[in-house]
Amino acid sequence: MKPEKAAEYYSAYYENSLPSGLKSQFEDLLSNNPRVASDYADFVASLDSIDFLAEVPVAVPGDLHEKILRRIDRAAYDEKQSKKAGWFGDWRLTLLGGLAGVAILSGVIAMNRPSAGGTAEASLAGIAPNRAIDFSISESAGVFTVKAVTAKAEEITVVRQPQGTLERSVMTEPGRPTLLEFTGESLKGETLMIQGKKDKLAVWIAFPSASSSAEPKTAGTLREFASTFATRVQRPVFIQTTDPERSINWRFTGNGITDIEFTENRFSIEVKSAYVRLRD
Amino acid sequence: MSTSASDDLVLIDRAREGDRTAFDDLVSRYEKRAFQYAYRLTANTDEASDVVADAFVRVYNALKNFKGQSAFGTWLYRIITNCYLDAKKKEKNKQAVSLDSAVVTDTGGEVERQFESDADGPDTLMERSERERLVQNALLKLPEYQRAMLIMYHVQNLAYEEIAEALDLPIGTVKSRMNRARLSLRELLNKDMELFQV
Repeated sequence: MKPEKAAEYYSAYYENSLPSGLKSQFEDLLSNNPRVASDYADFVASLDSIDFLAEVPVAVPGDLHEKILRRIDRAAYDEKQSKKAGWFGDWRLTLLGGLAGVAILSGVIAMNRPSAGGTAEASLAGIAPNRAIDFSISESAGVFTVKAVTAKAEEITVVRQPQGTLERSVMTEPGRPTLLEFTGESLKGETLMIQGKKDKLAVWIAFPSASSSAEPKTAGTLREFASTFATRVQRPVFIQTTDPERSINWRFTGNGITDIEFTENRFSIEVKSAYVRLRD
Repeated sequence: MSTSASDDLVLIDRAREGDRTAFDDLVSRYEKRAFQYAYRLTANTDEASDVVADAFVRVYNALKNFKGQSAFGTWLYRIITNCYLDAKKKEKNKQAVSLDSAVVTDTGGEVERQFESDADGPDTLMERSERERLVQNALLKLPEYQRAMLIMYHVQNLAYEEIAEALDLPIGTVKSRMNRARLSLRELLNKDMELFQV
């Protein structure tokens, strides 16, 4: 047995499973080659060290059982829902089609109303009532914390927009706040959607890019406006509206933060020192 | 995961017929060892909890397909390993954006944890803790499959046959890869080896 090949047999020798011929060759090496002997001693010591881990108790979280059962409840519920969807899918599609038609018609009527246009300050509105998920945002030392409180256990997903990349998901506990923390520095120019998977209620956060001398956009979706605005004011914009993908036009009319004109006035702009909030 | 296989099969049969209590019993029976395995893979309590919870959801969804050709415990190890590898893939994909972990608060209180009592003195405890940390850190530097294999064998005390079933590999492959994994671990631990010489 060549000394440089000895390591191939360490495990088999350690487990006493080397055939007798190889075993005696290996033992000759151990006796006559100090380098191999030392190397094998290190090998055995490393196995002792990992065996030691088996003796170290692992602290099992007290809520592990509940967590597992909650996830299973959720999976069972989703399965039931998908079965229901199978039965009523066609009927639901018809209804959705009808609702979409009504929505388009309403949109056409709204676009023809003469009241379109106005400034951001003039358009304060409340948050939609009775949300199944209550989102709020706060900032401390550059860390933005989104707090989500749900009436029922809910999976909250964080998805990068518009790519749709899932960044993370977390299960909430009914009535208990779930905190999602973000560091703006690491998210320059990104927009994240934070959504309840079951409930589909969502909020968005647009993080600013580095300042640019390029002419800012003046048209796009509300989400794109938020991104442009975030870069202009160099602070994150928190979007809490029903439809951030709706198209709007805007024009910056001065150097003030709220010196902006819009083609619609269905949302308010609330300026905080660390962030801005847009909401219906 | 050595519990009575016949008891497992009874619980599995009942769970397949929709007996939720039977499934909950199956969870109770295996959750602690499942968590220990996941914790040694991740070295993180929250990640380990997520991996275990995901694994049991997969078990729940796939229970009707469980043929009983391998022990339930071995099958569970396979599922936990897959959940862990999937989680690592997701983590690698999102590393460009640093999102801090979500924290579930309990109105200011910490999540209650169960600790087993340890009667050793402070010096021994410190040494044990340092030794655990060094070994765990070395494990984390290994490729995921090597790590899983070493933990299954040395920490969870699985036989080669069980590891081969859990990883869906021929037993000869498991043995040769195990040797490579041990050699890699030896390299990583080498500089701290004097700590373990007793």
